[in-house]
Amino acid sequence: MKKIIHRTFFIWNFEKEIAWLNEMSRQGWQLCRAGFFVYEFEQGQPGEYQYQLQLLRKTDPDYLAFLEETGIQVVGRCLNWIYLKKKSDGQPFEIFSDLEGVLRHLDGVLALCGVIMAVNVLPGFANLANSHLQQLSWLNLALAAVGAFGFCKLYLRRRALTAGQDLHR
Amino acid sequence: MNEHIALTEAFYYILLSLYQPLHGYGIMQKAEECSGGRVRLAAGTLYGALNTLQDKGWIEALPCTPGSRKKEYRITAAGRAAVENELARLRELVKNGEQVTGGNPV
Repeated sequence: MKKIIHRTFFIWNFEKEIAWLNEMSRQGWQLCRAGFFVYEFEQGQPGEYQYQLQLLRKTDPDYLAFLEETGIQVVGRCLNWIYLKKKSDGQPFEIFSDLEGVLRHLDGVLALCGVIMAVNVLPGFANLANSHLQQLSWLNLALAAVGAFGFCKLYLRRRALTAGQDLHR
Repeated sequence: MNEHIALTEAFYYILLSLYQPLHGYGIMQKAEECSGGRVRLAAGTLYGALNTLQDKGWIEALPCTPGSRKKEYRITAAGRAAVENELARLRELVKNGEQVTGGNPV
């Protein structure tokens, strides 16, 4: 049996998305496809798999093959985000076990928020005076605000992760 | 100067694991086993570390065996030298620490 769920997660909330996918797994629903705001699940064993999400900076076939070699399957892809699953083995499923890796990944998501902000803020203000493009302009400004909000949230998260690290290097 | 910079635990255990040729999953298992389950290398971290170590010339990828997609790695002479440097650094840390504290656990 399969079911399709439409749900929205903002990119800075990717950890919430992971937690939701793991909760679905605990309820016996295993992700088999993911796209823009759409998730397809199939019924399986409760808790059989654990999930992770990763934003790739570039497509590296060697990396995907390496993940597979370590028992991690790519179950879905949405632009540069990949949805990963691994058979539950009683240990938490993480993609990065070092702080530098976690921060590098976070920096990629931060940069994405920055790009969303940057590409929308200029046309947003530029078209504000043009009555024909005013609706589009507000859409641009709304997207720029979303990007800026995500950027701030992730920046604070990054700062919290690095706090106190100097002592332990 | 660079050889005196401390290795991270991940790099240290990857290098130790590769005194025998191993593929990615084998390195994860070996590092966990060596550290008594304390050091668990995640796939993304291990992949990045293997690329860095290859770029430094401390490990090398072995030619793939026919019919296998798994890439095996092995430590190089430069990698062994890096491990030796790290061991010397750790010995010095322990020696100095024990001299000051008397080597008695708190």
